[in-house]
Amino acid sequence: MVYLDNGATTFPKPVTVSIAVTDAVEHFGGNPGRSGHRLSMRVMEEVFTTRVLAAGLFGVSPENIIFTSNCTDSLNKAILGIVRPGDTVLTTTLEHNAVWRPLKQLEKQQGITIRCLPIRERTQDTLTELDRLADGVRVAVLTHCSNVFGTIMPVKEIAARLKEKGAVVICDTACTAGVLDMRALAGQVDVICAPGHKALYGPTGTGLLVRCSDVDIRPVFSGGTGMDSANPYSPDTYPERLECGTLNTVGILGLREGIRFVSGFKPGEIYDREFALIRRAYKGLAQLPGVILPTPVPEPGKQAGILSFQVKNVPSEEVCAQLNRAGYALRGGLHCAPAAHRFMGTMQDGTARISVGVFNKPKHIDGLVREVARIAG
Amino acid sequence: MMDKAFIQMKSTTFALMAQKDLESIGIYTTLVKTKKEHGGCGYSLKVKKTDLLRAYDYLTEEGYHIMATHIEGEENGRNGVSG
Repeated sequence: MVYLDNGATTFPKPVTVSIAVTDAVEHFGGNPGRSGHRLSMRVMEEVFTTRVLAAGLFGVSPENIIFTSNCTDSLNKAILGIVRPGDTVLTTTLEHNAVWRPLKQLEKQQGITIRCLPIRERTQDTLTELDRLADGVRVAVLTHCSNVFGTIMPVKEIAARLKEKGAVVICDTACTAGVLDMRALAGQVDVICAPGHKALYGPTGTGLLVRCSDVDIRPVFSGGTGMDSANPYSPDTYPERLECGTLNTVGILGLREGIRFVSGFKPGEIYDREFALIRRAYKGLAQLPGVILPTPVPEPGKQAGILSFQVKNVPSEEVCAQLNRAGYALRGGLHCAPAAHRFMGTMQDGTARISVGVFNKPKHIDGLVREVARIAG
Repeated sequence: MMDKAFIQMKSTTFALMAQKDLESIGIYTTLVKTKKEHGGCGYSLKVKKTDLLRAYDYLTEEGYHIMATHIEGEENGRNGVSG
């Protein structure tokens, strides 16, 4: 099967990741940060190694790396831990349900006001829209890149204007952590939420919440942290403040190797490879009369390794079902981002989404285009 | 022989960070579960008594918050560096 669904989770994983996971199950017993025996201490040090590697990727100090179970978990912890009752929160038209659903829950339960920033094709137009929405915003939650259309957002410009007004900025890097420059992003926002299992090539069940400033994040979950047990409240130091219960040590040790894997590429190399594949896909699909491409020709720096398309008179789920039978794995439908589809006018039939990874090759794209041509008739 | 001391850090993560930083100045420590008589909270760095003062000063300058230090064999941990 040709796997083009890396936006859901990356596959395959580097072989070092699977070795690390097996090794963790077989040899790294013990619960890190709990007991004093050799096994517990050993796995604690391995978890710390992962934390240090992640800190290097984002350019922060290790205590500001918080392990979570995925990007949705990170976003919930950030949003629910920072937003206060009655706050005005800004988000955008391209956000995933992992952003919209916690915000809608807070709107219902805590009376927050949600303002929605329309993302325009020209950055200046987006900023003009922002200027009329930004006053009074206390928290902003922005995606770095649309998980449906691959549009890279002008987060630097948007965040700068919001931070001038004192807002806290949370950034969803579900599609970009491991692909784009996270150190640069960490200098622009207050919190980064990332999955470990997508472009960081870690196992499913891993994610990161990265504190990029001294923003206070209240714990959403409380429980054992392995330290200061007599204290009835969660500790006030990070990361333990936001990491209660047993960590997914098997996943974290796998993530360690995923981070090492992506760190082994030259800066921008993964992005360049993925962009080239997406541009190839766009060019091939654009020649098919029965295919609709909702986004413009991909431009470097404005489009990530994701491309959505539709086939006239064929719902996206049916397109993907036929592609599945032909040996191509893509995702169809609304991609947990109905707001993005509503904004782009693709709500009725959804889209078929190509999301490439570092293991994809030009021949995968060429084969896909031939199959889409057959479906489109 | 009572020639060890313990530096009790605020959290597990800070204990590990401190351990790596101390290695960079030639002070080697062992991470141990904090003893019950020292409060039992989290992890402490076991260090040679002769290295305690240098380690304490270095970590303080680096911005670490040290909960307490304990000299092996002494009763009841005290804040700050003893001796």
